Amino acid sequence: MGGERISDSASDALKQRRGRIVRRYFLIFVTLVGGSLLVSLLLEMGFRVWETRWNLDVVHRQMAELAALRIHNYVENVAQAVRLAAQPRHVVEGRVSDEYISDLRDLLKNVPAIRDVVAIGLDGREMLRVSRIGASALDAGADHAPEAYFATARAGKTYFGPVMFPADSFEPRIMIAVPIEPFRGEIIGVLTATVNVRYVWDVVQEIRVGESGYAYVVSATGALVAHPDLFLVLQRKDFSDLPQVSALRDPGEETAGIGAYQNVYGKWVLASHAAIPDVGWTVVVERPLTEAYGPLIASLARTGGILLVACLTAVGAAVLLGRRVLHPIEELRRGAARLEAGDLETKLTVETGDEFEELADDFNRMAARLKDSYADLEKKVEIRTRELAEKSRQLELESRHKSQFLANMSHELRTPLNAIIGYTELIADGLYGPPSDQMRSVLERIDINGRHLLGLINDVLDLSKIEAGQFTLSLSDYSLHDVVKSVFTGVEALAAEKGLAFKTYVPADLPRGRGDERRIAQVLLNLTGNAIKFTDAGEVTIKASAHNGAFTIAVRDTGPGIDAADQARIFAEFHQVDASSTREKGGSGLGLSIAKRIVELHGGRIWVESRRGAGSTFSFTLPIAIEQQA
Amino acid sequence: MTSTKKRILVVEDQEDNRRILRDLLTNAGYQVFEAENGGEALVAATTHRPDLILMDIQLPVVDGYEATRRLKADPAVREIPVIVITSYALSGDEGKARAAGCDDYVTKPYSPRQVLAKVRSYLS
Repeated sequence: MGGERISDSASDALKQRRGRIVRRYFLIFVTLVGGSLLVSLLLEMGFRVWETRWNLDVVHRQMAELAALRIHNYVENVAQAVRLAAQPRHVVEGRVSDEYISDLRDLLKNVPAIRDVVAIGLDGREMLRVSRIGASALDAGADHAPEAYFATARAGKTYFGPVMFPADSFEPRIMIAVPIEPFRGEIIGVLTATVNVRYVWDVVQEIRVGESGYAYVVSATGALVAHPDLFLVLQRKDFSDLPQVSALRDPGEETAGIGAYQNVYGKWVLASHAAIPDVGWTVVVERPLTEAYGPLIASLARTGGILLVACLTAVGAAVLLGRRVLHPIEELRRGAARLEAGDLETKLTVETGDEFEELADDFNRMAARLKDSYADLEKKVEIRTRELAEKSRQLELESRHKSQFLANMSHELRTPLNAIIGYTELIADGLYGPPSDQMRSVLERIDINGRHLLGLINDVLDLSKIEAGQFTLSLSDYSLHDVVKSVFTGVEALAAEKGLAFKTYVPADLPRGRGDERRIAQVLLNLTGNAIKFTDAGEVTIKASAHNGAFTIAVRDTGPGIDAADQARIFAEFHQVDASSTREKGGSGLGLSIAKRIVELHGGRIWVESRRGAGSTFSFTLPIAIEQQA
Repeated sequence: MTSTKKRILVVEDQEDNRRILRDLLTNAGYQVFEAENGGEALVAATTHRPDLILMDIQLPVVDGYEATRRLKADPAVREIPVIVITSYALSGDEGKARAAGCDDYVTKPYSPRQVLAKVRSYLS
């Protein structure tokens, strides 16, 4: 059904549009809610990352500095002890006496990290030596004068030597050298102490940076001094190739060596550092990135999760809200489509409790109203239709009655007329005794008038049949030749009476036609009769021909002719050129209109060519053979 | 002489027309029987065995078509020629008359001379 197809395509369109609305709501919500959430959270996260990094850097640097401070304190304490020991009370002739050795022994006793001490004279020769391990024999041949530590201490400063890894021990050492200064400004020698920096390890071991962070100490050259992983130290590892360590050699860059680096194990760590004064060492603090940023990442993940949930909620809300808004719209649209398709029973159920429900109620009221007025209209139409049908039936009946009445009437008229004409003929033929000449001429007038009256009755009857649509053709084969001949015979006498030349031209080889022979003869008789009637002198000719599957029959006269204005009207009913001619020439004035109908029922055409004073030619065409009336 | 006269049955309900045909045909030397409706015509045709029947169409009780049809269905009388007098008034009469089985027809109103000529052509 057409209606279903329409609603199908309507629902298709609806689906498409529905997609559009949902998408629009979706986009709006995602853009507004999701977008603002995303932006604010991203900003927040960015700030937090920046803040965390800054905090971590600060904390790590502080830890490194604390470690550096502790190591420095330790070294400084050792150095201080050495310095104290370098203020001898036993000075003889500008030299330390042998009693000074007890001071040195006290030093070894008090400071376990010191491995051995050597007192050197200004000449660079060893004067006293005390070792914690092994013999405290002087290296008599050694000349310390050219050494850097000698020069530094001799100049009144404390010397901290580079880290040494002696062959006889795994433990690294440094040398501290101070001037032997019994009185301020009076330097009498140099005291060197070899310090085992193994104690730095303990300090380093204790440093904990977060969960698994650690600190280690490298020398100025990058050599590893202390590391929680002792194995590395014992291996005498050189860290100078580590980027965070090598970066320390570039003092111009303050932040060099601070940040994310790979540690010695290849693991990513957050590195920071602090310099240890005097010894030229550096404490490096490293903490695995995953741990350092762990809380941040967890927090970011949490925030991201919240964002995701918020976005999903927003999307869900958008879709739900879209649906909620869309559902009543769809319902309304479906209703409108159903209404359009003619389903007036349409009732919408929208229970949103808002304007949509009001709209749906309005819609329902409208549909109900429409239905009522439709029903009303249908009832009215039905009543009108019935009335019209009744009227039409009555009219048809009336028409049939009229035609029947006319047919009956004409039969009734004809029956007495038949008797009149019959009796007249019998009297004229002398059946009831020989009539006188005068009687005979009167009988002839009776006959002529009777036949005229008969013609009029026939015309009226024909016309009433035409009007009632009951005029039908009786089709049969005919010879046009015979038709012309019968007409000629019928009116020959009339023409002769008026002294008119009357000729017919009919080719001998005309084909046989098919049509209503009697009606065709009636047409030709009418035209010929008129021609003779209206022509006072000259001639009347009938000319027949056949071409292109049609007969053409023309009746030409030399009568008064017909004005152009009248030519169009003469085929109309009840029309003669002027009213007076009806009285003069007789006829009902129906002949030509009946002739026209007969010709048209055959599928032909009738027309006149004429000029006032130059005669008229009435012509008509007939398809040679017709199988049914037009 | 009487026995040699040809016999014609005129079936016509209207008195004047019946008289015209009777006068015409009697004067022309035929013996005329008359019937006023189709029923009478059937009876007269069987009893009188005419040589020709002139049958009007518009008849009371049994009309001319029906009467012609019955005559032509009866083997005893079907050889009798039937000339039907049709009316110009009603279209299709000729066709109906031929369908009923008539041998010829004349159209009313007729000229007595034409009727006589047609009758003679059947009875000569």
